[in-house]
Amino acid sequence: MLAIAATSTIVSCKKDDDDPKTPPVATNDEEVITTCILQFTDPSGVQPAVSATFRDPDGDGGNLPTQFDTIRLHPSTSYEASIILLNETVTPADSISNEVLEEGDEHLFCFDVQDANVTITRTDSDGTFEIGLESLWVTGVAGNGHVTVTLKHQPDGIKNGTCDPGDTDIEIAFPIKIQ
Amino acid sequence: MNTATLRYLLLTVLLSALLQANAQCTLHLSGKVTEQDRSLPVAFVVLELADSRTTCSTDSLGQYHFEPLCSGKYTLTCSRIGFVPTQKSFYLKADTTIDFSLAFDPTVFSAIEVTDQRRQENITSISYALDESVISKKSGESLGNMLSALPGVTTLNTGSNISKPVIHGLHGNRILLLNNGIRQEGQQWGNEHAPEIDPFLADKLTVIHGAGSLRYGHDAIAGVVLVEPAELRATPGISSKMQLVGGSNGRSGAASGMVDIRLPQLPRLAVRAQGTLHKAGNIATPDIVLGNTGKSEKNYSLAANYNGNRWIAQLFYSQFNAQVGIFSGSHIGNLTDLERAISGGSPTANSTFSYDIGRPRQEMEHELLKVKFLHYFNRLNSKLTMTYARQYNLRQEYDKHIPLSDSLAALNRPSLNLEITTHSGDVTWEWKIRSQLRIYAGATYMYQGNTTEGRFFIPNYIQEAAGGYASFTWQTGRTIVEGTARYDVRQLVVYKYENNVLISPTYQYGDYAISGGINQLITQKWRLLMNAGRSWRPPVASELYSDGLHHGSAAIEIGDRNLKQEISWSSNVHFIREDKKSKFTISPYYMFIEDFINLTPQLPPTLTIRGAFPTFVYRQQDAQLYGIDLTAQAKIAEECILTAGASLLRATNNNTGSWLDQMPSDTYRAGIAYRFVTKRVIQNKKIEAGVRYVNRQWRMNGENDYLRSPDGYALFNIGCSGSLSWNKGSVDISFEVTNVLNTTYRDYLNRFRYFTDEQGRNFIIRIQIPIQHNL
Repeated sequence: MLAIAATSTIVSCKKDDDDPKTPPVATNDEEVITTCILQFTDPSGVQPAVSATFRDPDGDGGNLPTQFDTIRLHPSTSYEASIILLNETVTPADSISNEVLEEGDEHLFCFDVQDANVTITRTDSDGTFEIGLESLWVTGVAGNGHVTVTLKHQPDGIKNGTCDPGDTDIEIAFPIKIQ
Repeated sequence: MNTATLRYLLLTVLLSALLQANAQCTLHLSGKVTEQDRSLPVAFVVLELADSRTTCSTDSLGQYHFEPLCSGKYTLTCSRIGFVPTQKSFYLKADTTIDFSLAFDPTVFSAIEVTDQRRQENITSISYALDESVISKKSGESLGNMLSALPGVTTLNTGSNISKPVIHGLHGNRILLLNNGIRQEGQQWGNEHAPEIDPFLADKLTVIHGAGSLRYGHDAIAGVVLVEPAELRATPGISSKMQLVGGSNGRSGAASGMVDIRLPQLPRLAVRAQGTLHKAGNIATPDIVLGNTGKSEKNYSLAANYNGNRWIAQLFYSQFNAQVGIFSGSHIGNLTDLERAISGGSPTANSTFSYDIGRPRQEMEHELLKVKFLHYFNRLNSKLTMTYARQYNLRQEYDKHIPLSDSLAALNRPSLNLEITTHSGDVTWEWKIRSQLRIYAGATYMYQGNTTEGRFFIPNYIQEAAGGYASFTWQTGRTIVEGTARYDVRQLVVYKYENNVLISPTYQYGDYAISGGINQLITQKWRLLMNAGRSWRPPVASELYSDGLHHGSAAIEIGDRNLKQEISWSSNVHFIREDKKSKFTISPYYMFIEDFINLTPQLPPTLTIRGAFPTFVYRQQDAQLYGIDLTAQAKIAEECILTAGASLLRATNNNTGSWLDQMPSDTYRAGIAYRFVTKRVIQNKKIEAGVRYVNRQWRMNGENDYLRSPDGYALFNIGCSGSLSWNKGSVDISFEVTNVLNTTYRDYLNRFRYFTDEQGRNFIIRIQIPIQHNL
C-alpha cells in the first residue's frame, strides 16, 4: 500500500523540462524598444533633413546607450517630424512604431519643452485623439534646451488625449540646439 | 458598512452576551513532566482529566497548566508515545502541583519517533512557538503574518498577500524555513517572493533565533522557522478536522480539511490527507478598494507512516498552488510614473470589488516529496535517520505590460518564468552515550537546478551543497550544555549567454560554523539561556548576477560576480522568570556580520530609453545588528491574563556608520485575555483584545528613498471564542475584528507604502470542527 502510494506520487511529480546547462540564447524580453529616431524634414525644402537617435542596443540596464544625439534645428523653421521606434535585438530590426500605429488608440506621445524656443504640435490621429508619431515642430529664435519625448501606454479606454493616464514606455530628454 | 459586516458585528455582540461568568471554579492544577532516568523535561505530553474531558499538554520545559477547575475528585492521566502512561487520582480542593516522571516504554521504543520531531532538540537556543490553539485562531492569515506574533519577528510585505518573515531585521536566504523537516527551496531572493507553504498545514510554528540552530544548516544566520504539521494518529481510529474562515475585507473564504486514519486491522500504518482552498477578492483600505489584490490558493498534502519493529518509514507529499494579484497601481513604467503614483495621481487607485485576478500577478507552484526512514539500534542506544526530499518550484510573473505585437500578446506568456528543482538527502546518527550525554552526527547533500525564461532576472544555474556536522547535549543537575560544529561546501555553476557565447563560471565556497550554548536553572524561578556562534552564508545567484530593471521598485539592481561569503558572529541571551502568576523573558542579542551583502545606491542613475533609474549595487560591508526582545505575562486575576512585549532593533553599517535600510522599527504589543470559568453549553469562553504599536522608522539611511518613512501607528484587534461540545465532538467558533478603529496607516516594511494605505478593518469568523473516532 505504501509502495503504491509512493509510486503514484512519484509518477505525478512535476518536472522542469528545461536543462539548466542550455539557457536561452538571448534574454527573451518579449519586446524591447532599443532605438528611438526622430526624423525632421522641412517641407519647403529650404533646410536639410536632420535626425536624432537614442540607441541602447542591450535594453534597460547593462551597457550604457551607444548613441544619444542632440537635436539640431535651424531657427524660425517649420519641421515635419516623425518618430521611428525599433527593436534592434532581433535581425532584421523590428519596427515597434508600426505596432504603436496599429494600437494608436492606446498610445500617446507627449513632448515637453524646457528652455528652447520650439512649439510642437501632434499632427496625426487615431480617429479620436492624436497619437504623436507625426508632429510639427516650429522653431523660434536660436537657443539651447531639452525636449522630453514620452510615450504613454494608455490601454483599456483610458486614453483621453492628455498625458496623465497610463504607464510610460519611453521617456527621453533629448538635448536640443536651435542655431 | 455593508450588510455582511453588520451581520458579523451582530453575531459578535450576541456571542459576547452569551459569555457570562458564573460559578467559582478557579482552582489551578499544574506541574512538570520529566524523563525518569535523566530528569530532562518532556514536551508534548498529553495530560487528560478523565472526569472533565479536558486535556492540556506540556511545553518545551515540560510544564503543564490546566485552565481553572472546579473542586472535586479527578483522575489525571499522563501519556506520550514511547513512555509508560501514568495515572494519579486526587481530590482537588486548593491550587495543586502534580509532577510526573515518565519511564520509557521499552516495548514501543521505536514509536518514539512518531513524535520525535517535536522533542526540543536545541535546548539552549532561544525559540518561541505558536501552538495549535494560537494558530487556529489565526487561520486564514499568511504564514508571515502568523509568525509576526512572535518576539523579534516582523514581515516584509508586498501589499497584503505577499508576506515574508523577517527575524531580527534579516530575511530571505538568511532565514532557513523548514517545512515538515525539509528546508524550503523556492524563490527566496526577491522581496516579493513569499514562502510557498500552506499555513493550514501547520500545527506548530517555531522560530529559533540566532546561533543555536546550526543543526539545521549553516546559512541561517538570522534564525530558523520550523513549520510542523500535526502528528499522525498513534492509536487506531479516525480523526478529522475541518476549518472554515471567512473575512469581510476582500470577502475572503478559506476551507481546510484533514483526515487521519489508523486502522485496527493495519495498526502499523497511519495515513493522512489534507487540503485547503482559499479565495479572496480585492481588499480595501479604510478609504478605497485596491484593484487586482485578490488571491487564490489550492493546496493539498498526503502523509503516511509505517512502524516496523525497530524502524519507521514516512512518506509525505504536498502541493501548493497559488495565484496572487499585485495592486495594478504599483507596477510602473519609470521614475516619473513612480513619482506620480507617490503623489497620489495614479488613476487606477480606486477600484471596485472583484475576485478577478488580472495583470500584474504571480502564479506559483511548489511540490514536495519527502521520504524518511529511521532505524533504532537499542543495543547501541542509537538511532539512524535517513531523509530524501525532492522539491519543484515554479514561479511565473505576469507583468502589467502586454506585448505590443498581437501575435506575442496572444501567447499570453509569463514575463518571467522560473523553475527550481531540488534534490536533498541527509543522514543523522543520534547516540545516547550516557544518561547525561547525547551525540549527534549528520551529513547532508543537495543538488539544485534552476532555469529561467523571459526577462532577465537571474541566470540558469546548477548548485550543489554538501556538509557534515557533529553535536552534543550534556546535562547535569540544573545545567544543560550544547555544542555544534559543522563544515559545508557549496558549488554554483552559472550558465549564461554573454555576447552570444555560452559562459559557465564556477563558484566554490566552503567554511566552518560553530555554536555553543548553555541552559542554566538559577533558582526555581529564574532560568538563563545563552548561546553564541559563528556562521556563514555564500552569495546566491541573484546577488552575483542581477542585472536590470526591477519592475515595481523602479530601480536597477546590479549584482557583483566577485562577492564572497558573509560571516556572522552572534550571541543571544535569554532570561526567563516564571512563577504561577507571571512569566517574563528578557532576550538581548548582538550580531556582527563580516562582509554583509547589501544593496547600496550607486551614482549616477542609469540612463535607459524609459528615463534615468536609481541604481543599486550589491556590495559587501561590515554590519552589526543588536537589540532586545521582551515579553511579559501576568495573571492579574484568576480569569484574566495580561500580556505585553517589545522588540527593539538597531542595525548599522560599520564602514559608513550609517543605519541600514529596510530594518523593522521598534514594535510594542499589549493584550488582555479574559476566560470565563463555566461549564455550560459553551466552553472555553474567552474574550481577547490587543494592541500593536509600531514606531516610525527614523533610523534609516534613506538617501535614495523616494518617500520619508511612514508615521508610527497603533492597531487594535478584539476577538472572542468558545466551543460548543456534545457527546461525540465539539465545534470551536471564534470571531475577530482586526484594525478595529479602521486606522489609516502605512508600514515601512511594505513595498506598497509608496502607493497605498494598508488594509482596513476586517471582520473574521473562524469555525473549527474536530471529529475523533476510535476504532
